[in-house]
Amino acid sequence: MSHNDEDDLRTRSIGDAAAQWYTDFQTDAEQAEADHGEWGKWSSSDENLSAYDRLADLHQRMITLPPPALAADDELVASPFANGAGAVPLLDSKRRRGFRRWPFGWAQISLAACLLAAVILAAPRVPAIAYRLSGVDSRFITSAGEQREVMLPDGSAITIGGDTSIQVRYGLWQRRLTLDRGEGMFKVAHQLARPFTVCTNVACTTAVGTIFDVRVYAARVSVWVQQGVVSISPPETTQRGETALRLLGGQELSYDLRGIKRVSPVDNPRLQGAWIAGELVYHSRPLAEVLEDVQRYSTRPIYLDPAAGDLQFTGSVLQSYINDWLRGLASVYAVRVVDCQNLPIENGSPVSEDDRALCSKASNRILIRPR
Amino acid sequence: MNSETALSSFEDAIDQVGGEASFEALRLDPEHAARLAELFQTEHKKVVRFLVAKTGSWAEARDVAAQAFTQLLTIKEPQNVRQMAAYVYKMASNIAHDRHRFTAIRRRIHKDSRHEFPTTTPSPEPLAVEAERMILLQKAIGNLDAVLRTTIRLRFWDGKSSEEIAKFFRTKGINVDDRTVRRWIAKALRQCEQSILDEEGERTPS
Repeated sequence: MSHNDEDDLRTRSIGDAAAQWYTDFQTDAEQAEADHGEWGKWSSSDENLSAYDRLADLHQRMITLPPPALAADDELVASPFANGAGAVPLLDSKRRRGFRRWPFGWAQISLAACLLAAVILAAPRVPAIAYRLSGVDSRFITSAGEQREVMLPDGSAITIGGDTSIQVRYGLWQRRLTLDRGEGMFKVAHQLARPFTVCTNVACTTAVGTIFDVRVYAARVSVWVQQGVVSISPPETTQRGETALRLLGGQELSYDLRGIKRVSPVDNPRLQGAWIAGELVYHSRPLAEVLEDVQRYSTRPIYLDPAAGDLQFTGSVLQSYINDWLRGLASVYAVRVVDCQNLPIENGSPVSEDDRALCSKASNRILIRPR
Repeated sequence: MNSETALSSFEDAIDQVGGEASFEALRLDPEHAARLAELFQTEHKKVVRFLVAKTGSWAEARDVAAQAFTQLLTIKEPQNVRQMAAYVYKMASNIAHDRHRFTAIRRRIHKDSRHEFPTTTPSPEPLAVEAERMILLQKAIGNLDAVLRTTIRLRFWDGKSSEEIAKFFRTKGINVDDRTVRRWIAKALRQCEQSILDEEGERTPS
């Protein structure tokens, strides 16, 4: 089979190409060409392979379903596919394999010229039009304890952590996301001409095709890269200025308002991404920061006394057992854990006036205070 | 992956199908062993993909790929990597074909045995999401154009070849060749994928 046919799906998007390869192998076409040439080249890209894998998964799911009904004859004949949209007359298709026709007629050329003129005239308004054209301008907000996966139209995926707010705006030339609070893990579909940028109020992280995670704390922002390369720069200079810093797969970087703090290798990427599976894992992090994460998965507000904020925490927190974990803190650190809904009988220890005052601000609070 | 780890992962893969695994035991020429390792490193994942389409199962695909690579060890005369790659694909496709014949009956009885949850996702998805995705998929198939839906029904459920499907359409007065049928199958897969993505996107309030 020739791959130059103008109606071969392979000449279009990655997903279309993946579907065509999958189908051809599935139907025993392409046997002779599998071992070399086009498939070898195409399958050398991990991104192409993951598009292919998604279709393989889809197919495996599909065949476990009951078979769909065969369509009635009149339904078939009325289909646009039966009337030229997809059908290629037999003789024509045989001829087409030999050589490639000039694919444009005068009508198409003049149409293209008109479009070009329209684009030039509309150039000043392109950003506004572009957002509307590409159809993505939305905000995703999760509540505490919620975790959600969002697929974007370009094939990118975001896993959004609890209590997180992300704005997604897709333009013709860039995919721009703003992470106002919380955490997101971004699996970016490769589009060379349309960088994927995640901005926080301090800096922007730009990727072309990779997997990375951004987490916003009160005092700093942390970025870690699971796969690929990203560049990080202040919001105004996302067009890869000199200030951009490159971060490689397996590295973590954290920055605050004053600038970049440190770049370090990630010891165990599996643990770093464990939050997606419901577990928060830390290696000597200040309790204040840990509780910022925990708060995003807790339905009750947590108050941490600043005097206990610098305690170092190493260990893991299961998102579904936050309350147990909080109670357990009292046995690990020199802290008291006070449940405002349960004041008079708290651990047998006397309830101070301070506790009562703190609880009066929110009656369902959990207080963590030094002993 | 350097050539040493490539070699050992090759050995591991062959171990899994109970083959004779150690290169040392086989007394392979070190140069030939290095070529095998290189081939395994670049081609293994591609061969598995090639096979998953044929077998309809990741586990089966990995198994057949390991067997095909094992066959390479029986080649006595040194060959270049390109020739060996061609050989692996040939073997892979033959083994898959044979296995398919022997397991056809079992498969027809236990259709579910072909299905396994995808292992490519980083974490096991909650079952509820999986169940919902199956509902979306069923809906997506139902919404396909009559021609596309009939095409995949004949291919995926009735096991008809693309030539047979083209013939079926010609009896209905729709003049197509097998190549167009394959394009329709690809299109149907893509449309199902897309409509699931769209639905999942829409369900997320913005």
